[in-house]
Parts: sequence; C-alpha cells; structure tokens
Amino acid sequence: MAPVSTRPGLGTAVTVTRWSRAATATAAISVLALAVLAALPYLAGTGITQALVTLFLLVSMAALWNLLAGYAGMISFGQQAYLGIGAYLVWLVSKTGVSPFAGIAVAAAGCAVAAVPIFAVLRPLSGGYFAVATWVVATCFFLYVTNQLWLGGGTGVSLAGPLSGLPPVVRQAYTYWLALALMAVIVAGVYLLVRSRFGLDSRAVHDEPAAAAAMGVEVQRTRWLAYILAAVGFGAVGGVLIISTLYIDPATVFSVNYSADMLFMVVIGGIGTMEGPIIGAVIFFAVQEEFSSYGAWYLVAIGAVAILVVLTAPGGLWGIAARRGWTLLPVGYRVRDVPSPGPPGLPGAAGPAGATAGGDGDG
Amino acid sequence: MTWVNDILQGIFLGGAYALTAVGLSLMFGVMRMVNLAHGDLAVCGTYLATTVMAAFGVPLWVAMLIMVPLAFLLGLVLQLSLFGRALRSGTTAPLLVTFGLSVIIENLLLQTYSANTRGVPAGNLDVAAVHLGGLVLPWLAMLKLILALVVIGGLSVLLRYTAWGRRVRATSDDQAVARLQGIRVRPLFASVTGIAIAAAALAGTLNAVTTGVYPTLGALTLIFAFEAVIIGGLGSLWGTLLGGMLLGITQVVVSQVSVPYAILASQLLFLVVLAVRPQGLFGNPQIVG
Amino acid sequence: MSALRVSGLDAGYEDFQALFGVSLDLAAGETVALVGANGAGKTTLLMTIAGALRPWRGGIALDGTDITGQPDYRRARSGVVLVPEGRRLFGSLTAEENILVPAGARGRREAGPWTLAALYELFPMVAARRSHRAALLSGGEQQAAAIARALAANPRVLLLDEVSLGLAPAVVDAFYQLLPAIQGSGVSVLLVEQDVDRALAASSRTVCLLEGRVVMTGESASLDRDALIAAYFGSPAAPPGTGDTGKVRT
Repeated sequence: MAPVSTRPGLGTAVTVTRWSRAATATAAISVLALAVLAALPYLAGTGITQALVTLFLLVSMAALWNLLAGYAGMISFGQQAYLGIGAYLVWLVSKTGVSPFAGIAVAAAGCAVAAVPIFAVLRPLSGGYFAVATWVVATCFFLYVTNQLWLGGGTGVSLAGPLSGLPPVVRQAYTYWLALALMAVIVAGVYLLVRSRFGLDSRAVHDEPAAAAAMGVEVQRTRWLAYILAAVGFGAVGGVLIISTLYIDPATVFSVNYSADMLFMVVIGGIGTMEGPIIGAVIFFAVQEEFSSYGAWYLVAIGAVAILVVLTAPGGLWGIAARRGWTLLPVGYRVRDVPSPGPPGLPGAAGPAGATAGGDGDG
Repeated sequence: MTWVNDILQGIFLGGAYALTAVGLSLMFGVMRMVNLAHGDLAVCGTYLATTVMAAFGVPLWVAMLIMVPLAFLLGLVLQLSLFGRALRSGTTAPLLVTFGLSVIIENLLLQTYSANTRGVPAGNLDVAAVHLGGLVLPWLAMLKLILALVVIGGLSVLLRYTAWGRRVRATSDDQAVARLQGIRVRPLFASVTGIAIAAAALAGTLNAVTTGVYPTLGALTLIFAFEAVIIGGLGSLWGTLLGGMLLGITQVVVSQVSVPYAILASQLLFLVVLAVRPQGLFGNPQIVG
Repeated sequence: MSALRVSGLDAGYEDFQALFGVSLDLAAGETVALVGANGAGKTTLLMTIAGALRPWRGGIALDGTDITGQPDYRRARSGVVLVPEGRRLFGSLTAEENILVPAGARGRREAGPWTLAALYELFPMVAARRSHRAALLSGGEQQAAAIARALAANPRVLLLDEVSLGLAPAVVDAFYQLLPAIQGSGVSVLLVEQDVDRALAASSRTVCLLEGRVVMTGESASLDRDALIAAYFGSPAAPPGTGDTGKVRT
C-alpha cells in the first residue's frame, strides 16, 4: 500500500501502513476458499455440508464473542440469550407464513431491540459481575420460555412444518449457503469494525478506560455499540441454528454450554486477535467431531487446555505467532522506515523497523 | 397466618442460600476474586459425601465430618496451584480459569456419576419438622439457618479479633503494603479459599438432602450464591445473609401465587437491585464481617 | 560491618531503568538522608531495598548477609521495614490493629524496644486515636501510625519515604523532634526527604540522587549547600569534589 505519511526533516522518512503482503494473500485465499465452499453442495453430500454448517456457526460465535471479550473487554456468559431469542423469533415469524429465511432479519432486529434494556441494566457492571449478570439474564429467558406454553414450554418448538414445502436436499443447501454467508458477513463485519475508529476506541477503552475518556473517546457509546452489534450477530446465528436443526428447546438453546464453547474457542485460538477465534473454532470443531462419541471427556480436556493457555500463554495459539510479528488480518498501524537514498557514500536508512501501533495480535 | 409461615420458610431458604454464598462472599471480599466454580465445588463436596456414605456405610453426619476437611484441603490446593496464579495474571484470567474449572468439574462428575439425580439419604432429616401453631419448622431448614449464622458469626469473630483476621483484613486493604509488613499472602489466601470451599461443600450437601444432586447443579447454585452476595453488598458477610433472605422470601412468597415463576421472580429481584442499587444493601469494598 | 550495604544497584520498571549502579552504606545506628528531585529514583531505591522491586543487577546486604534474593515479606521479617510514601495504612483497620499487624516475624515484635506501650508513649496522638479506623485519622496521625507500624517490627533498618509529604510544617517539626528517640533505639534510618534543610539537620550523612545515579555524598554537617543544590538539579556548574562514582566518601 502507498505510504500514508512521511516525516520530512527528521533524517528518516517513515510510512504508516495498515496492510501487508501476507494480508493480500490471506484475502485472496479467503475469497477463493469461499468460492470453493459455496460450490460444495453440488460436490459433496449432506453429511459434509451439515457438519460444515456447525463449523460456520462456531466460527461466527467465536468471532462475535471475541469482539465483546477480546476487543471491547466485556466477558459475557450470556450470549446464548440472543441465540434463543433469535431462534424463537424465526419460529414465530414462520408461524405467520413468512419464510424462516426471511425471519433471520427479524431475529437480528429483535435482538437489537432486546439488547437495549438489557445492556441498560448491565452497563454499570464490569468484570466478573458483568459476566455472571449476563448469565442470569440468559437464565431468566430460559425460565420464562420454559413456562410459556404458547412458546412450546419445556418441550420446545419445531420448524419442520413451515419448511416442509422444500425438498430436504434443497433445504440443506439453502441452510448451508445461509450459514456460509452469515459467517462471511460476521467475520468481515467484525474485521472492518475493528479496523475502524470504533475498533481503536474500544481497544483503548479496554486497556485504559480513564485515559481513553480523557482523550475524548466516548466510552459508553463504544460499549453500547459493541454489545448491540454482538446481540444482532448472535440473533442471526440463532435463527440459522433453528433452521439448521429444525427443532429447539429452551434448555438447549439457552444453555451456558454455548458460552463455554465460545470461551474455549477464543481463548485457545487467541483472544483479542482476528485470526485466533477462527483457528480456535476449527480446532474445537475438529476435536468435537472426533471425540464427542467418547462422552464428555473431550470437554474436560479442552477445559484443561484452556486453563493452561490462560496461565501460561494468554495470547493463545495465534498469540504465539503474533508475537513474532505474524499477522494475516492486520488491524493496527505499522510504522516502517522508508529506505532513503541518502547522500552518496552513506548507507540508506534501515528497512522495515516496524514499531507496530494498535497492537496487531495482542488483546 | 399462612403468610407468616411463608416469610418463615423464606427466611429458612435464605439461610440456605446464605450458607451457600458465604464462601463466595469471603473470596470476593478478601481477594477480589469471583470464583465461577464455586457452585460446582459445592456439588463436588456433595458427591464426595454420598460416595463416602455408600462406600463405608456411614450416616450423613459422619460422611460430612470426613468431607468438609477434605473440601478445605481442596480449597488450599486450588488456591496455591490455580487461583493464585490466575489472580497474578490479570483481571480476566480468574474469570476464564474458574469458568474452565467449572466445565471440567461438571463433565468429570457427568462421566463419573452419570446425569441422573442422586439422592442424599439423611434418615428423617428432610421431612422431620416441628409444628408450632400454624407454623411449620422443618429441622433441616432450621439446621441450615443455624449453620449460616454460626459460620458467618464465626468468621466475623475470627476476622475481627484474631491475628489471622487482622492479616486477612490488612491484605484485603492493601496487598502490596501487607507484604512489605511481613505478611505472607499466599498461605493466607490459601486458608481463605479453604474455608470458602469447605463452607460451600457443607451447604451444598445439606441442600442436596432436599433436592438431590446432579452434575450440572453447580450452575444454579452459583447463580443464587452470586445474587445473595450482590444484593447484600460486596464485602459484607452479614449483607450476604440478608441478601439470601430476600431471595428466599421472594421465592417462597411468589411460589404461593405461581410455582413455575418463583425462581424467575428471585432472578428479577436481583436484576432490579442491580438496576436500582448496584452496590447492594451494605455495599462496602472492605470486609465488614 | 555496615547495617545495610547496597552495591551497584540497577533497577527499573519494565522497559524503563530508574537506578544506575547505585551504591550506599548505612552504618549501625546511623541516619542517612536521601535527597533528590522528583523522579530521581529515591522511592525506587527504597522500594528495591525493601524488596517490593527486584533489582536487575547489584546486591543488598543486611548486617553482612546477602538479602538480594529475599522477597519483600521475608525482608520485613529480616529487619528491613519501609514506611511507604503516602503512609498507606490499612484503612479499614484501627490504628492499633495497624500497629499489631507486623507480628509475623516469629516474635520479633517482642524482641526489641518497640513494644505497643513504648510506641504509644512515643506517639501519644496515636494512642489517643488507637480505636479509630485508620482511614479516619488526620494526616499527621496517619504518619505517626505508619511509623509506629514499621517500628513495631523492631527493624534493623527503617526506610522512611517522604514523611513530610502533605503535612503541615508544625506536624513535620513534631515528627523530626521524635526522630532522635527512634534513632536512640539503635535502628539505622534511611530517610527520603524533599526538604533539604531538614534532611541535613536530621542526618549524619546525605546522599543525593539525580536521574537514578548517586551524584553526591557527604557528611551532612559539613556539606557545601551550594554544591548540594547544584548536584540536586544536575547543574553543569557543579563544583569539583562532588562524587559521581557512587562511592561512599567518608
């Protein structure tokens, strides 16, 4: 990318870049991968596409949870509330005759609306209180829905009826593409958000709220935005969830197990980075596919790994790479010396010196 | 007269919540640590007690005499190995570590004992009651309330009048300076966590006499304990008692009107307190005791 | 053998080095004043000696025994006690409880002249407020209580960081009038003081720090005041004879 600024008169010119060759490669490969994945329903059976839907939703949830925890500094154990709200909204929409696929928009919007009063109550809290309070909120939704017969009560609700018009293969394909598109939108959206002014603000708030506020960062607005956007994202994921599984019940969809999964994916992958949650989701998915038939032991193992990571390598797997300066999805600002021609006989200024501002790769 | 009985049952229930919550309150007040595995550790203690009962054919009270000291040791070990390091690693580490521990414990219990609810045999204790006029005074409920008062009262006395208590309060006020005055913080924190887990295990086992125990019971246990602590105000042990009472009374009173919404009502009470008075009833950053 | 010997200390915070090769000696029963501008490293030096900060290089010896590796709580028990800048009493404890806290060093509290009674005699204003919560004491009372708390451990070496900070001059005068009684009990004192005149008056030797280095030492009674002020501010016109090598001048 072209140099963004130089500092004349200081002996060395510098450029500030936000992109890199590796990033271009990553972008290209991602586009290619998306194209291949989009073609998959024509090439592979529903077993594979069904499994990939799970993966796409895991990636989405990990990216969103990381937006809250890694970038905005709000650890939440209650995002499953919006999974549930989104899922139930899609079901409600389908009962009015509208296609559940269109219901996703309602799910997302509904969650945005619900997030406002919820965050208004949770706002003064931080750290562990915020985390448990979000869990309580999700529990409240669970308790409410379980006792509402018109919402299916404890037994749950099914989308099988409204979607019975579609042949199963077609329905699977639509669901697959929906999940793929949602993942792409969420990851791209989070990426653009973190690269924007908002991203810088929220990371400043996360690190030093008082200093950030003194510099004019609107601390409250940043937290609001992060929370509502995350709620919207989770609502959409919840909508896809019910379309994919056709059936939900409150105990499953409002379960804190989702939060546990998100925590594991993001922590092991690398909290506070873009690449980390994606890597974590892939690993989690692979472990789950491979080992869940042996019972809950894999969760014990993952939990132990997560604890180990937090205590010994808090940056997660990607954090190890990021410390060497690797970054595939750059978020920050890199200051590099520009080799200047210099007077004859004198060597030019050193090449990439790379003081990296904005913390590529650290949370 | 029944509403008096309701309030009474609510008070008893509150005593149970308070006994469950006192360990959480203590750990928060002294170490500023929210132990998300608190409920699961209480459940662990319960399973341990039932296992001892089944293996050695001893009654509940004997099993608890064995189990509670073991729970204390478990707390020591956890603090020295895990929690201490998490506290030194930053503000989010304790949350992530204790949540991870919670998942580990629940799934270990699931694998070891199955998901079925296990009963805790206690002779007649769960049904025996004293009847005074229109009032029902169940022995088990009274025992839990008395134990809550004893534990909270005992801790208050220890904190206020012993050298250990002085060191705990000093460290809670200013850890760095406490070290500079010669206080060894690690063993101190270990003793605090030991007490917290022992109390939690005691409470959990007695509660399970009524409800039975299952591997995922820890989540609800944690939530109620947490709410009692917040409503009562952080750092105040007696506040936790009062917080527990409010939760209990709300739950019993609402259950007279509508059983399914009783638990939801106490959750909403918590959220209302959060919205209106986030520091709780006796909000106080230092341990009051 | 000196009570406290600091040799070639380098110390700092993360990337930032605050002390460069600092050396100093404290003889038994001696009072040395440590002066310097803000940011010169005085508090850092005291914190390093007390064990709150790990030195990057160099050593600290107490009565000939190397204590460099000892963590802060061990050092307090060995006999090096710090009265921190800003007092930092335990706010929720009463004044008396604050003083009772350093009971850790296995009876050390009893193994010396500073019993509770002796401390109350020295600091009657603390005795008067002994049952009040420390957070409610006035600035002067808090300072007295903080010093009493440190003395209760019957230290070999007492580190005093800016005792006059934020206190009215009359209160500071009162404290310095008590200093001889403290010195008389045999404890060695390293005293950080912004007020150079008081520092000179209260000590037998004075060490001046500038940007983390010892730039001047000397007998307090005979120290050239102008030279000291020049060293204090790092004036290039510092007259010859001012030590820059960190060595002790007798």
